[in-house]
Amino acid sequence: MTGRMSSSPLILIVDDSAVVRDAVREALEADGIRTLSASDGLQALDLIRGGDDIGMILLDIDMPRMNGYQLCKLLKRDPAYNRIPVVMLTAKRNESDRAWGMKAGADDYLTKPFNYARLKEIIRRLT
Amino acid sequence: MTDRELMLARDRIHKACGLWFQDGRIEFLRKKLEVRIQASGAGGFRQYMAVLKNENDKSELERLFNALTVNETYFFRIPGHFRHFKEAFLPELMQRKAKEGNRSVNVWSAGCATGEEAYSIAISLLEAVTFPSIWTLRVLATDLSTAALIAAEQGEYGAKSVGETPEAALEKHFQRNGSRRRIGDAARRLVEFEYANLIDGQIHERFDAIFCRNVLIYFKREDRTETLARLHDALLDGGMLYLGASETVWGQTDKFEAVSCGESVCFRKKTG
Repeated sequence: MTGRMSSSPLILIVDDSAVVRDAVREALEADGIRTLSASDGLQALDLIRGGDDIGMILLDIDMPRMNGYQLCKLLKRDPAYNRIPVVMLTAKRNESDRAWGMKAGADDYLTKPFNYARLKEIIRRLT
Repeated sequence: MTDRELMLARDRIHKACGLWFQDGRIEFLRKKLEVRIQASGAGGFRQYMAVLKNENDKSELERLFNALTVNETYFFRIPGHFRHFKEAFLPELMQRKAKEGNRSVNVWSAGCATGEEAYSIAISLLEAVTFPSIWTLRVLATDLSTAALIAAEQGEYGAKSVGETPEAALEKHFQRNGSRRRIGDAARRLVEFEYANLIDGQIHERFDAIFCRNVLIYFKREDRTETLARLHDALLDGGMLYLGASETVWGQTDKFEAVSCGESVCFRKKTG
């Protein structure tokens, strides 16, 4: 085992914090996983509609212009995109925050600081 | 807590979530902070500030936010607003829209908390329209508390929430559930609840009317002005803005005209 995944899904990281985006990107790319980044929901939506074959979305919640719940709900209601797995990655730890995320259609919900092994396991399961 | 600590906390809270406590409300802030410091088990002011700064765990910040913004809310609060909305604004709006062949009405309940205001708007819409089925009626209800949004979607209320609701509306638009009342499906279907923030530009549609009551009181003057500009942009021409009893657009923008509505006042977006 080299630690590389057998296939290399393209993962879209959406977070308004450049520090978080870079940390997640570096960790994933070290494992041979390709990534794209966006700093808010609207920018993410442009990338998703841009035609890249996105295998999964790692989605922060509190962001300007379009928050993570809004983007998730929009994608899950759209037959063209509702099969893309969405994993919320957020500092919002209350049970109601998680419940609202699952209602929006999220496939999983991780709280920061995230455990990389757990994230990898989720990527393996969902992509 | 010293006065200096209190000022530090005020700035910290403004930075973290945009809430601002004017000097007149500073003792309210002190009281709530003391309760949260105690309840969180932080051990003291300095430790509590460190908890609030933790970027990886915002749960205490959210608990404090909820404690600071807790609002008394009930169905048809400020009855003058709902009378004006249903009996003056909507009939005129619908007549105009029917002529234009556009049978849709879109209303925003900004800062909807547990949903009483949003459902009051929905009930008013249903009562103002003769044939609701040929109209597209919608209420977008937004808040920043997911706990409040979940309660709002459940739509079940105690006696205090419906205390000011006219008997006929209670019979028609609610179902009994023991001592509680559950909002009926007709009104519920009109309302969509969404997590959204007023100042981050997350709402990208336009509305015939906006209810944003007892939200601006939590903002600093410059944030209030910016929020009013955003609300103005989100309104269609001639659209109506309903603010809380102690809130106004005066002195902050001249893009609205005041309209008297019973014991209160509302603000119409000027055209052009």
